[in-house]
Amino acid sequence: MTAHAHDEPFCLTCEMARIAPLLPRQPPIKDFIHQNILQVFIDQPFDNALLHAAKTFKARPYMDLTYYRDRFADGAITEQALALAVKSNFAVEDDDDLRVLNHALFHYLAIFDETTLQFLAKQKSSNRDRFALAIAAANELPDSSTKEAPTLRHLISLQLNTKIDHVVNALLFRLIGSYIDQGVSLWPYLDRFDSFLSAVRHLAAHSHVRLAYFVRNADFLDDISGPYTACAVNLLKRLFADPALYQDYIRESLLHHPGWSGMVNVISRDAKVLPKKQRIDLESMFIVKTALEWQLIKHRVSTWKPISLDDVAHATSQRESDPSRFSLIYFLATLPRHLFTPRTALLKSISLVSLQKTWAEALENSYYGSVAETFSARKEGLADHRPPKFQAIFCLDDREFSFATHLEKESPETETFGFPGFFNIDCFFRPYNNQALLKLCPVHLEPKHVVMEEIKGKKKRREQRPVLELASFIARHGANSIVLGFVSAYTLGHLSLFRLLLSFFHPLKIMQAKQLMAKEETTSLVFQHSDASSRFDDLIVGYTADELAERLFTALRSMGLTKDFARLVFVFGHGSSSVNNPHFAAYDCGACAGKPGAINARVFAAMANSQEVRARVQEMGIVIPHNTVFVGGCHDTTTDHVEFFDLAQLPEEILPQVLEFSDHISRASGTNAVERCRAFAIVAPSTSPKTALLEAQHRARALFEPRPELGHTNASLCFIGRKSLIYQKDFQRRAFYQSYDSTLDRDGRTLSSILNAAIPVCGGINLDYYFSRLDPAIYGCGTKLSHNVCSLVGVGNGLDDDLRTGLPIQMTELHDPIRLLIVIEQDQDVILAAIAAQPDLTPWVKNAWVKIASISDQDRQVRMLQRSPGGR
Amino acid sequence: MIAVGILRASVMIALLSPLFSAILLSLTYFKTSSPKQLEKVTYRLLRFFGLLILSSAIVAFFLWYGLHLAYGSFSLAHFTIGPDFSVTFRIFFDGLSLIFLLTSSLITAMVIFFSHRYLHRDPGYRRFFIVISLFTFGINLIILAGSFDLIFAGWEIVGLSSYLLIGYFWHRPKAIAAACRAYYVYRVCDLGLLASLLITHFFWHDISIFSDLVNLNHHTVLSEVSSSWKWLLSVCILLPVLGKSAQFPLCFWLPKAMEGPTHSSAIFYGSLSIHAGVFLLIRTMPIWHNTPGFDYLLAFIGITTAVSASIFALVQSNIKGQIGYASIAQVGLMLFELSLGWSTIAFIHMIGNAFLRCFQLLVSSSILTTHLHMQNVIKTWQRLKKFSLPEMVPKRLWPSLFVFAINEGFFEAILKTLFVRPVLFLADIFNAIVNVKIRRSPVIHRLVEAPRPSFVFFSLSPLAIVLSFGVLLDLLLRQSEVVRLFSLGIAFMLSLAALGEKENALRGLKLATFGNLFALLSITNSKPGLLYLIGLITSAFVAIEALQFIRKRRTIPDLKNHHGLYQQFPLAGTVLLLGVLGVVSFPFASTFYGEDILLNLTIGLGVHYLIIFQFIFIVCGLALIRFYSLVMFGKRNNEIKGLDLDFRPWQALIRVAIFFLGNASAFFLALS
Repeated sequence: MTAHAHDEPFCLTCEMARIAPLLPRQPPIKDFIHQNILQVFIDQPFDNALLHAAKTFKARPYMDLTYYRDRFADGAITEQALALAVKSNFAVEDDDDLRVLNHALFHYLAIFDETTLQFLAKQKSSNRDRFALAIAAANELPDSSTKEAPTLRHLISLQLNTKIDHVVNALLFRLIGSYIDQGVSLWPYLDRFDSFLSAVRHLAAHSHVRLAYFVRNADFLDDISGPYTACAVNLLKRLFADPALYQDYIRESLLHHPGWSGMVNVISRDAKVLPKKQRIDLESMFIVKTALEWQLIKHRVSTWKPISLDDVAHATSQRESDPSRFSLIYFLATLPRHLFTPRTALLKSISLVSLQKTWAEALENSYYGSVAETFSARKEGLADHRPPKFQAIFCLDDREFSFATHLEKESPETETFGFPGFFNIDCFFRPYNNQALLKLCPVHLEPKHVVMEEIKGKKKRREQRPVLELASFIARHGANSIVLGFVSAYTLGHLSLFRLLLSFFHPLKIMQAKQLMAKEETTSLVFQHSDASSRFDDLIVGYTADELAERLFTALRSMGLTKDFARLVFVFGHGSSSVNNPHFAAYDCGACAGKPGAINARVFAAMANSQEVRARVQEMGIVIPHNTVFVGGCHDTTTDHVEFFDLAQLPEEILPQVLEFSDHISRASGTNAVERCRAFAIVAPSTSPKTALLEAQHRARALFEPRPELGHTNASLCFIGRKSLIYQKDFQRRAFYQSYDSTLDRDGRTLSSILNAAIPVCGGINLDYYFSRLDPAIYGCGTKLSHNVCSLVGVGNGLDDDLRTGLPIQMTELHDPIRLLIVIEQDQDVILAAIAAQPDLTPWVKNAWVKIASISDQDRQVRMLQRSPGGR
Repeated sequence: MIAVGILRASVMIALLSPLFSAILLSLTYFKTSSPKQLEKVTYRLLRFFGLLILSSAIVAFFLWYGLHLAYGSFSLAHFTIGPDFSVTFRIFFDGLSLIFLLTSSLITAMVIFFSHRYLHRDPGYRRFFIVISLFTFGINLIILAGSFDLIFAGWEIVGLSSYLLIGYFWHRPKAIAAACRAYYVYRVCDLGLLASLLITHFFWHDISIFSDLVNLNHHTVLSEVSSSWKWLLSVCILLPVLGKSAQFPLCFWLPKAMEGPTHSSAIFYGSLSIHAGVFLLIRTMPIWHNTPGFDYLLAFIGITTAVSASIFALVQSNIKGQIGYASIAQVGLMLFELSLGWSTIAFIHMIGNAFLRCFQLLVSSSILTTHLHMQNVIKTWQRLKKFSLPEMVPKRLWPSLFVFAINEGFFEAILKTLFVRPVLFLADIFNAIVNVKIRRSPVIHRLVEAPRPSFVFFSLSPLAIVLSFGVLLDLLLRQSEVVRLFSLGIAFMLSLAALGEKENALRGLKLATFGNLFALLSITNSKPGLLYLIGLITSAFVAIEALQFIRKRRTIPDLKNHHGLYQQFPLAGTVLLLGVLGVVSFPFASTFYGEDILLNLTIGLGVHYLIIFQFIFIVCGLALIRFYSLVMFGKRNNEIKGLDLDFRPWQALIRVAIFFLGNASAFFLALS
């Protein structure tokens, strides 16, 4: 250990800290949160980060060429944008260069195999000389082939003559899965140990059978006893002759199953992410894994030779022929004859990646161009209903924005606003029937308050129909023990046929039956307190009136709702309802950390109705008229159903108006559902609102529907500004909308706080879709069809699989990977200052992970941000 | 009388319409259309057939119920091959089979209906429906078979569709491994069924075994058979049951096979395929129930499976694995019930379990929401859990119990050490021998590596060349005992060498073909052999030609890694699969029937021939499916789209036509 190649001594925890940022940070799947999957590379410019990540994770950096070519054929990529992208990516000298590039864009093929090239060359005898010429021309170019070093695990497998991962990973995943299990396992034996390592040690010490067929329990126990670093060094020393290899190996070992490593890392950072707390960390996982590997090696080969640097160098020296050369040769050979002249400089720059990059840029710019057109198009201004009859505040979510647009079309006397769906109520929430705390605010905020739910009146009907529910539970998940299984095969088994048939033919009936069974329980929320003594789990229960007033004031001010209040102001959170869908949280509100925003809307309405709070807000400068009433509600984005809260507490004379508004809402639901259904290929293009709503409800309730809704598919625009700029303009369900009145915010402080929520939330959603679409198997979680819920924390495919993070194909397949464009109605200088004020946001903008543009009310021209924040 | 006619007709419709739908769907490959169009056409076709199957099953059931028939039986076809061999394909149905037919039609029809939405936009949309149609045909064949011949055919079809659907996501190495594991287990166990088929032929010649067992006083039928033969027959029946229903000690493959789409797992490992074994046992109950002492074996296996699988289910922390083991445990209990002679109870248990597990697997993704929303219920349920199995074991044994369970009882490791390792060891040795000889002789080397398919049959292996001058002549003309044994030995060696092949898929394919060829020639030079010979040659030709076609366009560097060539060669891959299946004797090739006949002939020669012969068949089958999986399946390559290297549809059609014409002509020549 003293003879280290490094200057500092080896330290396992430091190594882990170095690797941990590379691992996915997705929490257990019930709290699925949209986030920038490549957050770790945010300090690099976006395109560099793509290439870097592609190398690190063996993913693809861009979409396939065929995808872009199809999009060009569709018209999604314009010729103009393509020409611009070519100019910015290649050094073009004359028109012939341009023609060559054009040919490359449409006809370049990636050929990875020499046989394929030879076959293509032989196909026509007239091709022979052209191929000879092409090969000669390609030989002129410098050799760009890179030597790919073999992985250390590959070298180990070579000596073992078997793949080391299969056997060890299966056992490791089972052990970890059993340890962190949250309720799948029928006999959670490992639950009782205080840490993962002690659980494994206990098994090794007390089991009379081998931990695996290749493990000698006593040796294994020795290997994993003692301090982390000592254990690790002890094990690594046997595997590798050279300490310089340790670091690479640890990295390789953890990144080999990023899903489980990431989950372990997330849990070790914050045990609270699991309802049943468990202690496990990357170090113990690595030690157990390596110890198991060592046991396997010992079992397989008696003459194990530790791997040295020489072995690695030797293996590296075997160079493979360069596939990009094949592609280039074929391209040259298929080039029209008159273009075939030596142009080394240009040919050097033509490669799969450079072409893909050009296409990607063209795709983005085509979209941005179309956005600019939409903005500049003159349309009818906002119909003047000052003050409007109704006002409605929606989440800035793209789905909510489209819904709001439909509402405005159906009911012109309504004015709508957009605001992050937590409505400035950053809190934890504790439901009355559940011990777990739910975080209801953007992920990067750390709330200090908790909102509690209480049942009004006495606790009648505490457990409704326990027998029926128990039977339904057993039929679903309980009948896996031998006795219960035996009993249920004779009873529930035959009944489950009818359940299946029913849910197949009449999913809606089941929903209605369930709604009948579970009658609404009236609850109230505790969100205000007079003294700060009331605590729950280190959190303050509720807010003071001052805190509430401040939150209300900031919210109203930043969305520009400071005067002209309507008689009724609605506040809509949103959630989604789907069945048989482990990714349900991905459809909920991104600004509420992947939970429905109903509670926040409810609290917001209640606080805005409180006279005490209004008085304080009035002191700050916003006068809410006496007769204005706030009503909370929740929009279900899957079924397009809207629910209103606490109607019983409203003054009675207002109810007819609420009913009138609810009428408008149901019409808007219909037209919104029609628009949504157009994206579902199965539905006929000419659907009536009624059938569209039925289809939407069917999707929410059908057991076998992998696409309950399409989520944020194609969300690539965020507009921050006044409604008048976009009133009744069609953004095709692709835009987030945040209300913002730049006239009230000359110094950009409000904008700064808006961006602080909007960039991580909207940018996170956009980039989550972007990367999951880019490489569904690596950044995304692949297809939903074969998912298997593991330990209630994630999904894998089949048994003993790595956990899959990211979004499933079924959510992203229609998404175009385009970075978010944030259009702000404000001066560029103010925008820059606002971004610079938030150090966390600077890399997002500076490195172009989101694009920012400004627009003004006068000329309605979208201008991309000229300079980047942070001086450059 | 008309009613009986309708009953028969509807049974036949239920049996054959899935086959038609599979064929019609395959034909859509020759008309390229947009994915949207394709989904529409596929779904309409399948909806029609799904309804047809379901309605004919319902009609059949109610007619049978109304007619108060005990059973029905009619013959489909009758072949006489050679002097003393004839086969009759018979359909047999009684209440049991009609209820099971109804169950299977219900479940498959339901799955077909909702797959339209479930699989929407999936690249394997059509492939799924073809395979599921094939599966429905297979399972209906098992249900309605009147003798072991048809059951065996159905059994093989179910096994193949199982393999194809586990490997549905063919670019995931884990899925392919699971698919191969399942196929290997099936293949080995299926030969038990083949053996029982032979034994029944041997004793009862051309009878419809099931109807006669029910109809006649089975004691008179069975009394001719000595008890040791009865034992052998019973064990041969049990073996495929252990394989298909994943019973002790073969429990390990089934939960790992949950790699395909959830609903295909639900059909196969939740409801239908897993219970096929129980159905077979119920069907053959008169045979094994009258074998003294066999009940105890069955009871032992049932109880051992039930206990061990439910222990394994205890520690599974993923939902599908848990359901899989729970289902296996219930099947174990069914076996126990059968051993007590309670066939009706076992049958009710079977149907209930089929629906229950199907439902459970289909809704398995909802476990998260259930846990979030049903907290009260879960509390109650956890109180119930106190009465679970581990509580009956002393606490100090818990660590051992846990480790035992998490390793699935080490069954797989033990079986591997006992049976697989020695075979692989032999395979490596024989492969080395064959390959060294190839390398030594440049002439032979050039022949074996010959690129053109016309050389294929002369470019065999060096041993084949040598033998083709002397030994083959002897085999064809005289069939002397020494040469016969010698060539059987060569066949043995070649097939093992094929199994051990790690470099060249083409060489492996040839080795396996010649292994089979020598095995054939060592048995017979008579006319029935033609059925097998022509089928084998046609299939091998199609397979080798397709593989050559691919090799010309892509390098296949070795057989140690997966190469995922299905991505570029879907049609060539399908043709290759067809050829490979022909070589391994799949029911749509004449080799299947030829194999049947050959084995009949071997019984006359002696049991040692039978064993070696079966061994060669198993080994060749395993080797070929392994090559196929390695070459065609595996990780997706980055991008080749736009480069059309595959067969044109008409090219593929010609190969398929050659395949079927060759097999048909085999029948024609052998039967004339």
